[in-house]
Amino acid sequence: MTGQAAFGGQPREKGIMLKFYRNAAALSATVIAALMVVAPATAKNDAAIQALYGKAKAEGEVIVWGPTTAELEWIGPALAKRYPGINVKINADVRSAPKIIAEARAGKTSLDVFVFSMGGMLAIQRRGLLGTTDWQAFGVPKDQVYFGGQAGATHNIVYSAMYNTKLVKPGDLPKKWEDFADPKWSGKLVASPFLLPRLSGFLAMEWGEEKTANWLRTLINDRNLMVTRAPRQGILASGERPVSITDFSSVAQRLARGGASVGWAWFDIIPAVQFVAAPLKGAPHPNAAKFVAAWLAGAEARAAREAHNFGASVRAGSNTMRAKEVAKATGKVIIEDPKNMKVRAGLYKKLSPIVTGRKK
Amino acid sequence: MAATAQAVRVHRTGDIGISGVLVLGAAVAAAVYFISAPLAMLLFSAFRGPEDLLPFETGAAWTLDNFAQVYGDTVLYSEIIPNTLVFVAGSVLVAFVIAFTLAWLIERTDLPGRNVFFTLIIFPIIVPTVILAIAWMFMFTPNSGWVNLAIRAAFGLERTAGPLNILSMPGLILAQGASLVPFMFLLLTAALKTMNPAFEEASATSGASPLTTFFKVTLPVLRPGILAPVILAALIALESFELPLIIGLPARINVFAIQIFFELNPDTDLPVYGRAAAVALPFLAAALGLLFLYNHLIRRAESYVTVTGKGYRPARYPLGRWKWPAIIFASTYIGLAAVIPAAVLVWVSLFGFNPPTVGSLGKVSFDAYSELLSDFRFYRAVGNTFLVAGLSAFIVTLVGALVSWVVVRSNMPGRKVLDFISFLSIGIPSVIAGLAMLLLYITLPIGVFGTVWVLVLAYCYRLAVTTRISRAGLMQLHQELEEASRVAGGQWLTTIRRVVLPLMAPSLVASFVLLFIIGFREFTLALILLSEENMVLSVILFRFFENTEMDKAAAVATLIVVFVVPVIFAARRFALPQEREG
Amino acid sequence: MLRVDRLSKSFATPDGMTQAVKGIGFEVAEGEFYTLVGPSGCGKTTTLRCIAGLERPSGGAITIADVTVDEPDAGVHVPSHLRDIGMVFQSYAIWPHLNVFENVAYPLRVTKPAPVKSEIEQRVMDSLQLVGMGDLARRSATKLSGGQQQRVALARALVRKPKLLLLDEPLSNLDAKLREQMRVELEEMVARVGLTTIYVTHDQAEALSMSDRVAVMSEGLIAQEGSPRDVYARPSTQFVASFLGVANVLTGIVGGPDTVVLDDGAGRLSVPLSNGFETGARIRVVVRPEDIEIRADGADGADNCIAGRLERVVFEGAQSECFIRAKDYRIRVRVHQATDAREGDDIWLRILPDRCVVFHQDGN
Repeated sequence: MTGQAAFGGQPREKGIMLKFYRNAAALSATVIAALMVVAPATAKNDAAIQALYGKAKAEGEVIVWGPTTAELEWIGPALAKRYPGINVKINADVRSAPKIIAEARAGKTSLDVFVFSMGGMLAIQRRGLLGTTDWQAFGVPKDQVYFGGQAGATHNIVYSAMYNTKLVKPGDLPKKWEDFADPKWSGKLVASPFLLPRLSGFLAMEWGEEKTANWLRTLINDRNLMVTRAPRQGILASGERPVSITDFSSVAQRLARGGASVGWAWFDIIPAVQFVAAPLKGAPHPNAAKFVAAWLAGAEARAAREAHNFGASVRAGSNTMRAKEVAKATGKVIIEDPKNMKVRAGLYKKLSPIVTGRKK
Repeated sequence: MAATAQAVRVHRTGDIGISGVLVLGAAVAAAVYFISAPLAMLLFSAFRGPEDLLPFETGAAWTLDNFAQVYGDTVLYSEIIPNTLVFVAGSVLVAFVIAFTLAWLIERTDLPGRNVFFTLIIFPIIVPTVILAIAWMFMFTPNSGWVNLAIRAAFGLERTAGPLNILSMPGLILAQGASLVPFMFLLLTAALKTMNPAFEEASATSGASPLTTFFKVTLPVLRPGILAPVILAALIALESFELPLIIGLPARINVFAIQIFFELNPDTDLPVYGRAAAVALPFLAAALGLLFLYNHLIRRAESYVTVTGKGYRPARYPLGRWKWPAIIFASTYIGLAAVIPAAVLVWVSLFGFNPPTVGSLGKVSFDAYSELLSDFRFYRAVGNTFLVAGLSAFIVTLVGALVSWVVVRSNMPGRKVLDFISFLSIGIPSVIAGLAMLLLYITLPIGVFGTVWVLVLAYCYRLAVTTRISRAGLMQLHQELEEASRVAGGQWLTTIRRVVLPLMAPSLVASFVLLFIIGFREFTLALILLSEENMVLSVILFRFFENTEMDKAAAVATLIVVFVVPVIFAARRFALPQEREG
Repeated sequence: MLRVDRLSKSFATPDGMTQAVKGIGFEVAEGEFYTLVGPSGCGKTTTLRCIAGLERPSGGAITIADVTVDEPDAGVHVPSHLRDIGMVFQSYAIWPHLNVFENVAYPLRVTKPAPVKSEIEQRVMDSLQLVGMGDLARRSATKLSGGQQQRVALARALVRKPKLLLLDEPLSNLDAKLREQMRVELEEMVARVGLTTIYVTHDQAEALSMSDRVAVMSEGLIAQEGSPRDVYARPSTQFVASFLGVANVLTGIVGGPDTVVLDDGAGRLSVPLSNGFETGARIRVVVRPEDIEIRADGADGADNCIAGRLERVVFEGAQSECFIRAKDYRIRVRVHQATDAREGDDIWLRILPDRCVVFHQDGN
């Protein structure tokens, strides 16, 4: 994790590159390991990849937008390691989608590749702003390519509970989401007002609206769940609340790697947000856009990403550490998908007012 | 002298000359230009739907759905609005009492160390609100707040929570109030500075005690100078959703403004600008209503001329035995709102969220700083931030002062409308303004898109604060001072430049400092107009925060503080002529 | 009624400490109209503000009606509002948020216990009547002319019948004609109430015309104190002489008993000299314009006459101001309008000997 990359653009100097690798010690090894694993898959497509790489390299630059720097900052160094000569510029903004749409209406496209969760991507896709690329060349399975070839699945981020390891033993944590409604968790939980309604939307797909609503009400009204936009790390660290029920396992792992005393746990339902990458139709660097978008969904990028920010695919068949963890876990994985989007959005709309206090 | 106190208006353009017409015309045009795009976008968006289309897209249509959805909810009337009113009234009252006391102590008494106090009182405005909130939560959360732990230990209380709880309506009010203090303080010191001290002395020699003088003379005479900050603070409290989201929601206090946050962060698809605008429209209505009220309350204040040509030397009250209580009062505020948040800020930048222990001192890590300071882009962002914040603050202050002159002194047709329009910027949320600026500058073929200049232009829409401040300043300025300059052969422009603006200096400096700090903190506009080239510090900070890299976010915030404090200090030290001590 | 004893006041300025008042003392009797007059920066306003309690003295003592209100060495300081005083400020400080009536009623309303409503009404109207503002009681304070503000300020200062009335340059913000008129009115109004009054002004005409006694201040000290007539006629220093009116200064040496030989052979004067003046000492003779007569004929050295040429006559209505060149001196003479001397005439000046004031070279 480097500070430089966090505010845009590619790492500047060799020294910083070195620092990057020192900080993310696992990266190089993982990339190599991943390459060995996926080598057979890439071999037959090597010609296609090399051709596209050549054209992309000629353009010399690729502009990637996404929601946060954590999702983007690793791309430059990892791509340079494998396919040098393409300067990666990044721009992180949760509200990228309206900007892309507004630009498009003015006949302008400032980015080549968009990396976002399915929800944000959908808004761009529906307006016909996405291009296509050769996902197969990078070995992306067919069921992980969306919108008729416009977007490829990259990774998932998974809802988990994050807890202060000094105050809570892993064994004390419940096995099911609903067990947080137990009185013993009264005054011990914290949640984000942004993520809690989203988590509830996932849970409600299993539980139904009413059960989920009751669960939320119990947590909020009877268990003194603290819903706050304050950084949960601080609240866990101070001990004000030892468990956060709305933090992604990847975030918890990143914080733990940074020295924080936090752990994470999955439960009976494992809600997974689906991230996708897509090339833009009007991309200023059309070949680089195609090349990098497809590369981002491919195995070696997945490995590099996981090493950097613990974001990894949990889909069956994914050969990642996280997928293996999921396989070991007993919970039911619910992956965000164009098909379940609408249902979940409807549930979100009904449950969100309970969190915001607009509905008792 | 006072016969001329009725405002004398300039009746012919001939009086101000061609240069005057040009300058005023440019100022008015600039004001209208800065404000009209965001305003139009707000009004437009509020009536556009459906929600999965942006307001300006093909397929979007006129609709009242946004209003139906936002206002067709009984909880709004049974809980949210009453909560909001208590929250706004309470926090403005808290802020006013603290800010006025501090302003009075600093401007009117012999409190020692006034310059240092001044800077420290302003300090909380530079610190990101989330950092203030974190610091206060560390101190006052019921289970683990340090102050609560200390109280429980000191009194041997058996309980495991409390006695204090920041996660409550009083806690929210105090927190919001404390965060509004610097803003109010800055404006109130400007008003106090320009008040003729003889008003208070005449009360003393009439036999009124200092307390009576304060309530019967100081407050009423300062009415224009007090009402402006009170009204502005009320609007700011009405619109603010940061502390309500951090401290209010855990206490299950739902205020109106946080609806904007939820409308802009739906689960899937796009932010719902239409409903966000529908939520924001009452701010505009409130702004209009309060402005009418303000104009009504100060309708005679046009002649509350408090600065005359007479040299005046503000006499300082000797605090005497009140010296220590005053120092303790000021220090308590500073301690809670400046020193402890600053300590938390630095701590987090060095240690992350690891709680302070003696052992952890060894784990100090300057990584966050060294990574920032070794990147050229950080320095470019510093330069951009100073340029954007400084230049936009300068432009807005100047335009605001000239617009106020037009409103107060000229008889230009439509000047009242101008007054209202310039005030409305306060009712427009940054996100809506940002969207408007994006559309405007992406379309206008003037080549500013993606450069720092687009940020300078965008930041300029915040005219409300400065027009209010400079209008209050101008009303306190005797017309004769301008006339004397004109009679002395000064052209209108010379008069404005050499007499009016210098005499308004306290108000203008207050306005500049405020806008400069707002500019340093602004990230919503910067984020939407962002490019590789025009990166500013607030965006870097925001991104680290979103990325859960609190140590780096805190490091950036610390550096921002380091950059802004000297500016405040310099403004206080050099830009405002220091009165002789007495 | 008022005793000021060794009063001193220092201010901290960026250049160090400045002593604005350097240990002055005076006493004012009951009912007396006492004026502090001097150029700006002489310490008169600071003295008044100390008496009012608006400034804290650095040293000395102030006693009002036998109560010591200030004595820094003894730690005594009675705040303004506990002193029984009324004050009119230079800027009048009429509160803009109150109307005329309420401005004047204010001192009564803040008194504890406050008088009953009817009494307040009565006293405010009496006070307004006294200053001729009875008709304008309900007028907004912001709609008053300068003269009206001044009257209201006075009414406010008088309304609670204070022991001491303090007036800080109350006429200086008025235009010339109004100032003349108000000067007389003010004096009459104050006389009618019979209050002990301390008046601060830089205008010698106000000082001389209104006061029972005058203190001329210079650089933080009282240069001379006395009745207006005495101070005018017998200034103790050249500063006092020239501050209180136009003074012709003639230089020369003592030529013998009661004899002054003017420089440059301008002539000899016969002036009563006290014992302090040795023959041969350099001296200055100060004589006021109205104490010189213009004659068509005369003789050098005789009858205190010196020769000169009438250079300029300034017609001022009731009188004329003449400028006469006598050797190197340019002498001002005030003559009755009937005088028929013309510019360019050679004339003789007769200096009235008993109106001359003689100082040593250093002005004392």
